[in-house]
Amino acid sequence: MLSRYLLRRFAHIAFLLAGISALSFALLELAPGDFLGEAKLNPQLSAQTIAALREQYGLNKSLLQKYIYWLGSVAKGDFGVSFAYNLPVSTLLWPRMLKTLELTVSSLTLSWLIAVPLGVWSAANRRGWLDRVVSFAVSALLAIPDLVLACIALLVAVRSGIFHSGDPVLPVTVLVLGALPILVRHTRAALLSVSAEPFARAALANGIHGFELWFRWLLPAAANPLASLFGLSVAGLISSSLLVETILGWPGLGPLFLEAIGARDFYLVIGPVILSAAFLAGGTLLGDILLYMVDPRIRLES
Amino acid sequence: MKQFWHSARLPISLLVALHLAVVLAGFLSPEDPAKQNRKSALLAPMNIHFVDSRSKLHLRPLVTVEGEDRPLRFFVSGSQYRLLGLFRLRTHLFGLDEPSGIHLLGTDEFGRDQFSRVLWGGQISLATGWLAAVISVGLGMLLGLAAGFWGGWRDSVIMRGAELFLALPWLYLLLAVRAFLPLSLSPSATALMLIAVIGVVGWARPARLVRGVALSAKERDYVYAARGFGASAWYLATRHCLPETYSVAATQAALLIPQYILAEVTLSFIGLGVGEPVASWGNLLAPLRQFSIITSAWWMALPALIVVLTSWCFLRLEDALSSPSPRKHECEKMV
Amino acid sequence: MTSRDSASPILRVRGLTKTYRRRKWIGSAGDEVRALRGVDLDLCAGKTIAIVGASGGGKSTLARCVAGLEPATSGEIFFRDQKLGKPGDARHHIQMIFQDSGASLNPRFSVAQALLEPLAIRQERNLNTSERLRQVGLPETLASQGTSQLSGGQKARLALARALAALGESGAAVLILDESLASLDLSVQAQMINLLVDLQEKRGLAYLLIAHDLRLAAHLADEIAVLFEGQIVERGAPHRLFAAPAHPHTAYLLKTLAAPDGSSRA
Repeated sequence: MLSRYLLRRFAHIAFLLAGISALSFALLELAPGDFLGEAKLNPQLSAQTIAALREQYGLNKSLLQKYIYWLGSVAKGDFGVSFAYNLPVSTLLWPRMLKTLELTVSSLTLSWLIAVPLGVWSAANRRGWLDRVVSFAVSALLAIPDLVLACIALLVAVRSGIFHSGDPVLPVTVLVLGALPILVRHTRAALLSVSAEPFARAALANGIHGFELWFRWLLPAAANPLASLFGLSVAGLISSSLLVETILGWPGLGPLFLEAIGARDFYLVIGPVILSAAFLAGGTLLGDILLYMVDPRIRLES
Repeated sequence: MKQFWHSARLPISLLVALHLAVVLAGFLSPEDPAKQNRKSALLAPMNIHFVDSRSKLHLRPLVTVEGEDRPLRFFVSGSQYRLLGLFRLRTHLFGLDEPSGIHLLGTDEFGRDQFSRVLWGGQISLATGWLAAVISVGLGMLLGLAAGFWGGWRDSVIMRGAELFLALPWLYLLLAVRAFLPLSLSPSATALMLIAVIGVVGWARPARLVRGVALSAKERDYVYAARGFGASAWYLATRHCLPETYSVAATQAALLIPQYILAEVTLSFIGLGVGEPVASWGNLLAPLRQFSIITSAWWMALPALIVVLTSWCFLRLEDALSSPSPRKHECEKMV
Repeated sequence: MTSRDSASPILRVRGLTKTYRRRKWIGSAGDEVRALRGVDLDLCAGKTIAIVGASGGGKSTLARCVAGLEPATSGEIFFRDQKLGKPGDARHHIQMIFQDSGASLNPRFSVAQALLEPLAIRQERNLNTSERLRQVGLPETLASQGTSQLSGGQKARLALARALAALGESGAAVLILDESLASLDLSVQAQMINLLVDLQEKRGLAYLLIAHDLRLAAHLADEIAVLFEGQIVERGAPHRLFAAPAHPHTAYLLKTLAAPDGSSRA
C-alpha cells in the first residue's frame, strides 16, 4: 500500500527532524556565548540594558524551556524569533527558501537530464576514443571543487559583465557542473553492471540493440542504484548551493545561515538546519517513490 | 595488483612529491610566509629566466626584481623555521640575497610570498585531511564494530545516531557543529578544533559499512568454532571480525581524505576555519571574494590549481583502488 | 558411575527443545519455528550414534545445542551425569566439527595458528604442534602455510586436530560431526573414516554423527536415530533399521538411497 508506506515515511521524517532539533538545541546550549555576547563590548549599552535584553529574548531560560518555547513557535508557524532582525524566523526563511529551491530544483532536474543520457551513452560506447575523452573530462571536472567552480563563475561574471546578480543562470550552471561528474559516473557504472547480467545478453541475442536496448531494457533495471543516488545527489546539491549562493551572492538560505552563525542568532541557526534536513528527507523520499514507480519488483514486494 | 600500480603510478608519485614538498615547506620556501612587506603588495609572479636584459646568457637562473636582474642563490641562509616541528634551521633551498624577496607565485595584499604560503598552507590543509579521516574511520570502526558485533540495543542506538548524522547535508552539518563552537580562537586551536569537528562529524558512513562487515563476519563458521573453544567476545571481535574491516576502512579513508581537505578549504574560505595569520589553502583563496582581487590579481587564484591537482590525484587513486571487477569486462561492447 | 564404565552413557540428552521466534514488529509475537521437540539421546564412550533425516529436520540444530553453541529452549544435557548449565560448560569434553571444514578455518590464519587457537584461547602452554599434526596425518611442513592453501581433506583433518586440541587429554569425550564428511571425495572420506575409527579405539571417543548419507551412517554407527520434524521417530542398530524400518520417514530415507546397503561396521 503506497499510502501506508508514505505515512510511515512521513512519521519517520518527523521523528528525524525532532531528533535533529533536540540535538541542535542541546549543542547550541553548550556553545559559549550567545547573541548578546558581542553587546558587552558596545559602550553605549549598559549592563542593565543588556540584562534586560537577555530577559526579553529569553536567553536566560533553561534548555528545556527554550525548546518548549520553540516547539510552540513551530506550531504557530514562526519557528522562533531572530534576534538580529527582530522578526519571526519563518518570515526570514520563507523567501530565502524559495530562492534556494529555485536553484536546487532546476539544478537537480538539469543535471539528471544531462547525466543519465550521457552515462548511458558512455556505457554503450565504452571502448570508443570519444568515451575516453569524455571520461577524462568528467574526471577533471570531478576534481574541481565546487568552491573553485564558483570562483571561476564569479570571475566570468565580473569580467564579462553579462550576468546580473538576480540571474540564476550562473549559479545553476555551477551547480550542474558540480553535480554532473558523479551522476555520470554512477549511471555509467550502474549500466555497465546491468549490461553484464545474463538477461542483457538474452535481449541482445533476441535482436534488441541500440537505443531500445539501453534505454528501455537496461536503464530501468539500473533504477535501484540510481534511486539511491538520487537522495545523495539532493544532499550534495543542498550543500553545494550553500557555497554557491554565498560566493555568487544569491539570496538563498546559505548566506542567511552563515550570517546567523556569525551573529549567534540562535533560532535563526536552527531554522536552516531543520529545513536542509527536511529537503534532504524529501529528496530521498522522492527518489524512493520514483523507484517504486519504475521498478516492478518493488511494487510486487509491497 | 599489477593493474593497480600501473594506473596508480602517476597519482601516487604526484601525491608523494606534494606531501614531501609540504613537509619540507620551511626548506623549500624562500620566504617567511608571515613576513609582510607593504611595498611588495600584490606583485605578479616573477619569471625565472636565463637571459638577462642585455641578452647575455647566464648559467645561474635570474629573476627580475624592480627592474634589476638578480641571480638566484641556492642553499641560502634566510628566515628561521622549524623543520618537522623539531629542528630549527635557517637554510632555504633557494632565494635571493637581501633585501628583496623572490616571489614565484606573486604576493598578496600584504606583500607576503604566495609560494611560501602555498607550501606552508599545505601543511594545514593536508594534515586536516589526513587526521580528520583517521578520526572518522577510527570512530566509525569502533562504533560499527560495536553495533554489528554486539547487536541488540547498542546496534539500534548507534544506527539511529548514524541516521541523524546522515540526515543533514554535509556542509550544513559541518557548519551547524562549527556554529556551536567558539568562533574566535587562536589559529592553532582552530586548526585542531577543525580537525576534530570534521573528523567526528563524519563517523556515520564508515560506521555503517564496518557494521555490515562485522554482521557478516560474526556469522562465519570460524567464529562459531572459536566460540566453541571458549573464546571471549573481545577475542572474537578483535581477532576474527576486526581484520575483516581493514579493507573497508582503508577504502573509506582514501575517499575521505580529499573530501576533508576540501572541507577545510571551504570552511577557511568562508571565514569559519583557520584564520589569519596562519596560511591554509582555504584562506589563501579567501581574498578572491573581493572584486578588486579577482579582477586584477590573477595569481591569487593559483592555490586553486594545487587544490584541484590534489583532488585529482586522490580521485585517480580511488579509481585504481576500486578498479572494475573482471566481471565488467566480460560483456563485449553491445551496441 | 565410574568414567571407565562403558555401560553408562557419558552423554545423556533429555527432552531437548529448541524454538525459534521470528519477530516482525517490536512487540508482536511473531512466527514460531520449532526446530527440536523433546529429543532424548544416550551416548556411551567409544560408541557412535548417527542422527539421520531430511534437511530441515533439525539435525544441525541438535548438533549445535549439544555442542553448546546455541542455548536450548528447554531440556537437559548431562555429561558423565553432570548437568550442563550454561552452553559452554562442557567445552573441554564436547566439541564439534563443522560441515564445511574450510569455512571453520579463518583464511587469514596459518595452519599452526588455527591448530593452536583453542589452546591460545585457554592460554595453555602445552603446544606440541608437530605431534598434533601427526596425530591426524598432516605433515609438519604444513604448519606455516595459510589455511586457505590446504586441500579439502587436509582442512578436514585440521578441523579434527583443532577439536582434539580443544578436548585436551582428559579421557573420554564427545565429538560431534555435523555432516563433516559429506563434502569430501570418496577416497578422502575413507581416509577420514579410518582416522576417526582409529582415534575412537585409541581414546575411547564417543561420536555423534549428523549425516544425511545413510550408507555412511550405517558404516560408522552403532546406533542410528532418525530425526523427523524435530523428533526422534525411530532408533536402532543399522541392520535392523535397514531390514525393517518402522516409521514411514525411515522408509522414505531408505528409498532415496540408490541401493540400500545392509552392511554394518560389525
